[in-house]
Amino acid sequence: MKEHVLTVENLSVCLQSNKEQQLLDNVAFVVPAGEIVAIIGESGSGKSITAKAMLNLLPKGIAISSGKIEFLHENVLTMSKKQQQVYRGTQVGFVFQDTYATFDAMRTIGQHFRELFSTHTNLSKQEVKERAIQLLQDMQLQNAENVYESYPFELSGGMRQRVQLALALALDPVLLIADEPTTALDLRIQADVLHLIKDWSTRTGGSVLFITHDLGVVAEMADYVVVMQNGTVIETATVMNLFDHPVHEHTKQLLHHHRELTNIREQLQIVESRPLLTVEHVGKAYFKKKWFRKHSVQAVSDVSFPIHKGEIVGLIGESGSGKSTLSRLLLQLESYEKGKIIWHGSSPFRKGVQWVHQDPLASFDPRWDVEKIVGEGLDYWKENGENKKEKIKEVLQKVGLHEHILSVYPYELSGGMKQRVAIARALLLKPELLILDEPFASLDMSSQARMLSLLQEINKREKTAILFISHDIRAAMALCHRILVMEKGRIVEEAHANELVSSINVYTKSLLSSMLTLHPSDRLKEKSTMEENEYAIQKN
Amino acid sequence: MRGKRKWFVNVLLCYLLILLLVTFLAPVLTPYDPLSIGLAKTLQPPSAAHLFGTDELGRDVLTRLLYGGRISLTVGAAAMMMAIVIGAGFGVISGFLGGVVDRIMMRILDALLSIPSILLMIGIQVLIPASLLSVVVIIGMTSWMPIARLIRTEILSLKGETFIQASVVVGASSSQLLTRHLLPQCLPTIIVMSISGVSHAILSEATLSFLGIGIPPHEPSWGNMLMGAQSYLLSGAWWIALFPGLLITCTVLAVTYLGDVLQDRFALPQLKKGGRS
Repeated sequence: MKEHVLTVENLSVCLQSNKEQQLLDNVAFVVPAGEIVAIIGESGSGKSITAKAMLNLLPKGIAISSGKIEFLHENVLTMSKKQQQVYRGTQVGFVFQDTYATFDAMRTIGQHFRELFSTHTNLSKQEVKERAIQLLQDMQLQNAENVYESYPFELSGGMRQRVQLALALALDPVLLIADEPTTALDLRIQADVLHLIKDWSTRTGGSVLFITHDLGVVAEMADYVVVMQNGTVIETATVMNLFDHPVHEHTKQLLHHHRELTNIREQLQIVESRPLLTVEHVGKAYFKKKWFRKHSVQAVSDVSFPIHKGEIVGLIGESGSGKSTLSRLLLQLESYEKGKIIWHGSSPFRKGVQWVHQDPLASFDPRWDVEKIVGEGLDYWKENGENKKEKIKEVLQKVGLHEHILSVYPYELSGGMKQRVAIARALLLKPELLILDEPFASLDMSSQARMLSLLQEINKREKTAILFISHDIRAAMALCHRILVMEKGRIVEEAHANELVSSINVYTKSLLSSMLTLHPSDRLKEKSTMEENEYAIQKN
Repeated sequence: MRGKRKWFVNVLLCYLLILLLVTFLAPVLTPYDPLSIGLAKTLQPPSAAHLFGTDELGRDVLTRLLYGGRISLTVGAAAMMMAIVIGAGFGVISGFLGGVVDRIMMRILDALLSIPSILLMIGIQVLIPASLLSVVVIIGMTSWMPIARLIRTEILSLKGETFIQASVVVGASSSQLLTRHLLPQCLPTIIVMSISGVSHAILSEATLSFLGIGIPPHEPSWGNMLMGAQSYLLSGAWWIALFPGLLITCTVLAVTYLGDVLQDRFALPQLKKGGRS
């Protein structure tokens, strides 16, 4: 039996104002030395509170009512201020989801490093710089020297996450606590960051407490899994056991959602020969004025494809590949210089094509309640003898929302509900084509799976064609009949979902390789093939 | 803090209501005629018969204040309405159409803004004979520019918002976008601007009358009462200047403060409930 780095016993956390309100109830788990432990649960299950309790950094108004947290045989809760400083500063490193809020926007990355080292060590300025650059290079950041001098806003989200990781690992901690570190990132960057954490753990023998909502991440990373629901631990198991023999109902449900998200869709027999929408050689360039020269950026170039009735088409690519621009061109929200987009639907274009934006809240008028938002379309496309309110209730029911939210303002709803309101608004007009721009971006895994089956149901029942735009190749393969891969404004591949796996296109392959494994047993095998690939690339 | 502020708002509201009431009921409330001259009782200090004293021509100051309030408040409200209509219209058209039209309209605005407004007022006043209407028109014509600029900026930034595009996708026409989304979003700005516009207009009227080019001197208004008072201030007749001055200050302050409160009232629903945005 290995030694335990972190032991949590009967941890209960409650609101100070109301002791009855238990946020965590008898949470217990251990983190063995050198292992990766994942805490998984839906949003609101108490994962993040647990992480904060480990550091004794609970927000004001929330207190630990009972229990013990032991770090290397020392009780964290009874440590003196000085001990706590050492504990948090040097023995534990942490990484959060929000890569922007964790940095002081007024200071350079270098200043962050200097602050850290000057508090806990007595290295000279020059030594700090050398050490920091070494760390940044370890995190596979190109141009580490430049990064060291940059301000946080000058870096991309993926770069900031690497810097955060470098800072967390700077003082060689024993334990790394990572709270959803990859949720907001592109798939490829996610894979990189996960590998960095994993490599660190195997290299230095450090332990990791990893918090996530995505079973894919668990399958990829974890040795042990702690499943949480409503503030309690409902199951603890090794990763293999969890995937093969889940015990608790909720775990089974999570696994079911995960499978739904990873099932590959069979292809669709297209009956009608005339497509619903054809895109022919469309191109769009943006101009940036720089002094007297005009600098053009080709956002979309020479894109052609059709969308048929009742078909779900996926458009995947990394951020900056021109997906969103293309969607705006399709919606005629922007003009394009080259090519043609032709609509063959039976209803007028503005009614027949509807849109769900990646940030649903931004797409609602902030002064309107749900009823007005959803019903907006009917005001413009009036039909005689229609009962507007009935129609709105009907469409809300279709997307699985209760009608009592009609008078609610959207900012009061949860992420999944907002997304459903946005879909309800689009469905109200009975569109023939639905354009979804990153609809899963802000949802946890279970909400994603529910949204996925909702979309499939809509597609089946109403024969609505769907264009699904996403960076998430996994979700696209689960939902779409046909997938278009976009890179730097061009469509580089078009394939049916079940054919995409065996694609020979270099770019598609690299996207596929960053996909998370479906089952922990696939992990070893895949890693070795990847290393071979990397070796081959380096050789060339 | 909140309760205290509410109490203060109520006091201000009462003050404005009473002011409106007494100016409206002026003929009933005072036995004097604001225009009748009584040379027997010039420059009398406040007394029981003349609560606020009499002026250099023996007219009752209180009576003139009440009648003058009618003119000052009318000018304030009417000029503000005019400024808002012109300003908001100009701003909306410029911001919504954008492009070349916007650029031309903004240059016109810049040109107008570059002339000091008092100079502009005097310039126009020379051309048309002084009357109540001319004062309203002049103040309205010279104070709509900042409103136009503000509304234009607001419309411009709103135009790029996702929810506007979402409405376009659902099928809204340009005019529907304007009336259903853009204008309601601008409403808080318009209301706050119009409230502070009232106080600005009252002050402008006072300024014009003080300079002797506003309301004709025999007609009472707070501004030209102040002007009439200046030569007698040094000889000790403080009451002629003090009361109109006080009224102008208090009214302008009250209106401005209420504008602030209204701005909070019209904030977005998520901000209104005291929650996080």
